[in-house]
Amino acid sequence: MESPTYTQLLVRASNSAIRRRRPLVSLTPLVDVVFILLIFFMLASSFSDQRAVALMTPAAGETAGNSKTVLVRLKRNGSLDLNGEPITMNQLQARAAGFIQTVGERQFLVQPDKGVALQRVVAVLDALYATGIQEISLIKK
Amino acid sequence: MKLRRSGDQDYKEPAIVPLVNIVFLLLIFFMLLGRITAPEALDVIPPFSTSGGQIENQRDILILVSADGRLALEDTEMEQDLLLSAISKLLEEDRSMRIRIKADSSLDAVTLIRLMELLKETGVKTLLLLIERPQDQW
Repeated sequence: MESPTYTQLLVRASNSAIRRRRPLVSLTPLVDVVFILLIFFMLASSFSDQRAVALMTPAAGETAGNSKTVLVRLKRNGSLDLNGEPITMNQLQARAAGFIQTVGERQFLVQPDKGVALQRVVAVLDALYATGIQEISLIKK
Repeated sequence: MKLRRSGDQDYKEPAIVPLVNIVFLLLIFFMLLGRITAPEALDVIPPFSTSGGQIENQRDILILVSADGRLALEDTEMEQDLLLSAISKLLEEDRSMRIRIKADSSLDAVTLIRLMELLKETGVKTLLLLIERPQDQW
C-alpha cells in the first residue's frame, strides 16, 4: 500500500480536528505571548505629549526705570498684586488686557515671593498669555 | 445523572478567539499610540497649563528639577555647579541648543528663577518649561 502524502495527512488531521472540535494548533502559547507584550507596552509607554512655554528672564538693566513694564507680584499667602494694587486671580486677565489697550505693548514682569509654588506662577502666566501678551519675564526679588 | 466525559463529541472548548482578537487590538493600540520612554532620573510632575505649544522634536538639553530642588541633567542627577559646567560644555559644541526644563509643579518658583538666571549667564538663549495639558491626565 502506498504511503499517504503530506497533504493527505494534513487533511486527515484537520478532518479529525473538526470532528473533535479541537484546534489543530493550540492558541494558548500565542495568547500568553500577546498578553506579555500587551502588559509590556501598557507599562512602558506614555501618552502625554510634551508641550512647553518659553521662559524669559529680563536682561540686566532692561527693566530699570522702564515705564512700560507691568509688575505682577505673587505673595506667599496666595494674594496677587498688579503694579502694587491688590487683585484677584479672576480679575488679572481683564486688568492685564486693559493695560495693553490703554498704553499699548507692554512688558510684563512676574515676581513670585519665596515659597510660591511653580504651579501658581504658571497659572498667572496662563492668564497673561491668554490676553495675547507675548513678553513675560520672571524675576526674583 | 449523566456525567460528561472528556472525549464527548459535543464537548466545546471556551471560545478564546474573541478574547485574542481584543487583546491583539489593545496591543496594536498601545504599540502605535504610546511612546516608550526611559524612566527619568527624578520624579517630576510638570505643572498644568492651558498655554504653551507643542515642541518640535529637536535635540534639546533636558534639565529635571524635583520638588525639593534636586537637579538632573538628562538622566544623571548632579549638583548645580557640575550641571552648569556640563551645560556650558554642551553649548560650546552647539550654540543653538535649547534647554528644556522639566520642573515639579510644587517647586519653589524662586529656585527656578535663580536657575534660569544662572543658565542665562552660561549663555543659554532659549529656555522652555515643560508643561502638561490638564486633559492629558487619565
